[in-house]
Amino acid sequence: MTTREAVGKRRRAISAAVLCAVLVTGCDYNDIDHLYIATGMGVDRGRQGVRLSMDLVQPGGAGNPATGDSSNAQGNAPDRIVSAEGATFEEAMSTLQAKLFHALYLQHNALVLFSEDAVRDFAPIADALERNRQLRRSQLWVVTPMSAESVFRESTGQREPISLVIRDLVDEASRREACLASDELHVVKALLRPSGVAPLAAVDEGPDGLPEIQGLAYLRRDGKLDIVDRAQLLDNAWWLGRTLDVREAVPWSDGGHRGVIGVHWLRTSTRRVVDTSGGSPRLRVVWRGTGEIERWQASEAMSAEAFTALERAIREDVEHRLARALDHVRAVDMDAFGLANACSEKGIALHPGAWKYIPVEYDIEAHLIHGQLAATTPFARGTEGGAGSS
Amino acid sequence: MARQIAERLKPCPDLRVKAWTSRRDRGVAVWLEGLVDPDRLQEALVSLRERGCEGQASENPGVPSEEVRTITAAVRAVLDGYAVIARDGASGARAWRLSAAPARSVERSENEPTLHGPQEAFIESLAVNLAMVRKRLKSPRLKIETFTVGETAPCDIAVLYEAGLAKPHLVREVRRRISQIRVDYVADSNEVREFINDPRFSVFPTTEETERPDRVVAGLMEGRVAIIADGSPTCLMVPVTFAMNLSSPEDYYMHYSLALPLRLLRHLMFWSAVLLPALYVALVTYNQDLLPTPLLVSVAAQHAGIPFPTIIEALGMMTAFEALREAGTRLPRAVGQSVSIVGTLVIGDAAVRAGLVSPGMVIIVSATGVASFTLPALGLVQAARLLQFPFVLAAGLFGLYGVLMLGMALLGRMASLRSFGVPYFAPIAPTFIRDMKDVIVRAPWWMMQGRPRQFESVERERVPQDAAPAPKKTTWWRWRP
Repeated sequence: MTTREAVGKRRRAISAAVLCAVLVTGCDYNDIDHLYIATGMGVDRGRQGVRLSMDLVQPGGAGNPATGDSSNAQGNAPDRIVSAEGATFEEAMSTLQAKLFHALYLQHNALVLFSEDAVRDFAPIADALERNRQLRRSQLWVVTPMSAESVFRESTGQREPISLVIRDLVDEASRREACLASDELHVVKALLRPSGVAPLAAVDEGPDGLPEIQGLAYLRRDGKLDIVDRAQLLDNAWWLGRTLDVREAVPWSDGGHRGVIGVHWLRTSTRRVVDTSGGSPRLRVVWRGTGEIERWQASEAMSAEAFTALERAIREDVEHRLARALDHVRAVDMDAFGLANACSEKGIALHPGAWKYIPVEYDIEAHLIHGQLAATTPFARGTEGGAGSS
Repeated sequence: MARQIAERLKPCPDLRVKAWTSRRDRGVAVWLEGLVDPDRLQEALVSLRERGCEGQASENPGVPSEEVRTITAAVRAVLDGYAVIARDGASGARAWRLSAAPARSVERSENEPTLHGPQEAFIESLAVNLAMVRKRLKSPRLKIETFTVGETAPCDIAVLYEAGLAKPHLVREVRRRISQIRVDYVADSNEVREFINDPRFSVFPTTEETERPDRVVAGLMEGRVAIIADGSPTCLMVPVTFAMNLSSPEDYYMHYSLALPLRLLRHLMFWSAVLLPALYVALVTYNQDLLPTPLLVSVAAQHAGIPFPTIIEALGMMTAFEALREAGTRLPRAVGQSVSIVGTLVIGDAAVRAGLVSPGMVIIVSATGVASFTLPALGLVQAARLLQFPFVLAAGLFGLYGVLMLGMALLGRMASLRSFGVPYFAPIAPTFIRDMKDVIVRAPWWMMQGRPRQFESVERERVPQDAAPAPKKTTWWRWRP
């Protein structure tokens, strides 16, 4: 065989391979008109097993640049909810597709909203979600104490699909409390670690019909769920990582006055350090925070003594919050703060439940920026928190 | 002789024959009306009559002339705008150069306008064009060689180069290719270009076309060769690279810091002009997962109710846009501009309102058109206009994979192109690091002391090393009150 023939043969083989590959790609053709773009998925427990509610974009709805606010034959809503039931997740999905006259397009699904009931049977649902190749691993997993379908259906007045509203709501909250960023990848990763508990954002329908952050939900691998309400969110968020730009009211008493001091935490971080020097593991929680005194309603400048007292009050308050959160997770038997994970990283394998008995000590340092940013108003004396140095 | 010339040219109402007599000789003057300056001819004939026996009768010291010995040469001279002066009894004749062929005056460049720098452009007269180059390049090393091409209607083609700069092999190759042209007549330099091009079939311009004498001079000083055809207002420069087609003369007339973003923008715009509609089609029909959700929702909303598949919509809009552009070019300028504006605004808006095309598609096609308008080389604009169609077809049939495959094939083809032996992608592939100073960025003049390496000019430095300016140093200036 001459060189020319060999090159020709090789060229023909490459051309044939490329042609085959090219023809195969053509099978994926799916014009945008023939898609139902799902932006959110609600998972509830139904009579038959799993009830799925899909939040589908209505391209002709409100809030899009082509039609503006004008209504059309499909109504003025930016999305519509379609629900279906099945014995399994896959069956529910098939039933749902059967109701739609275009292909269900899941690659832009941004949210999976679980109802509290649905996660009791969490493993098969999680398995189905993990297996589905269309779903992105960056989609948010969020929990609601009520029905996911009702959260989708009863929220009104939105200019964009409700699931995108919830996603944006959680995204914005997670900018402050990082633990609320409960995307699928992080949740699954947390569930597979020794502690087996993942934090998820919890949303609920507010009094005005709009979804709002209800707090934080702890989901255990076996489907046990515990929702911490918003009042304790900061306590838990400090355990679970960094926070940015959060505000706190610190109880404060000085010179016979009692009140609260507003502290704006610019950033805080928490580390868990396992100390094995004493034989049995001990956990040291290292908390660091930089904040500014936002509400110093005193008529005089802050003295050094007052500042020291304030630092001490803040330290006590942070420790109190951390201890309260730890007591709670111990009480519900969920290693939400990853104590077993921390021990495991040190090579210590704990017996089930042993994490609850690990001694914990707190190392708290608050760096306060005060002076320029502390402000008083003429109304300081009349307000509840009007305490300060005297 | 006059009778024989008339016989060759008849019927020829603009042929003029006038008898002349002097003290010793008599003869005839033959010329074509309109191609010869009548006042100068009259003066020359009077002078000839008065001089009488001094010298050869048909020679006139005040008029440049050439000897013609055959009837064919005499006919050619008459057609070239000479006045042929024949003497009775003589075997030959003299052709007086008294040309006054109609030509427009030198005007601003319309195809390559700039805000800064020289503005004049070539016209259809070879002599004037050569003079414009000479005026800018007062170098004794500027060489001009003339070739005659055209079997039926011969046309002069001038080859210009700077001796000692241009590679001798390059000059020889240009001579060889021009001398091999076989054509009945040359209407424009484009015919020359198609004959001398390296690739037989390519949409990419492998010769640079310009109507600016300043650009020609810049090219000559880089060791390149210019080719000007008589009757054509454009000059061809060889060799040329892809990157040179994306540089504008204005890059060199403005501060280098301003040229940098403009060069970058042009590179970006070229690929946008080629790929933008194809990427849109691929993303909307195959790879919707690559679009951000809000954008996808917006595109889906715009596309709702459009009766055509996206690829048909894209091809239709692109064809309509090309038709409007062509109409704007062909019509008289005032009307053409109106057609473009009306076409873009009214027809586009009406098509969107009628639900025939989506607003997104109008934006994409318009943006593609605007992107192509930013390219300084007309040849590259046409290449981009042509290439966007196969890319859209590939995107519509095979998605991003098709765009990728076609893009790789295109890059391979571009890398294999040569312009008079110089790789088209030089200095990127093959890489000449030193020449990168004038590809995507335009370095300050004081940093560009060397001529482009890819042209293999004989003198590689623009100025001798000993005469080169000293490297820039920071001078510490101290304020002393």
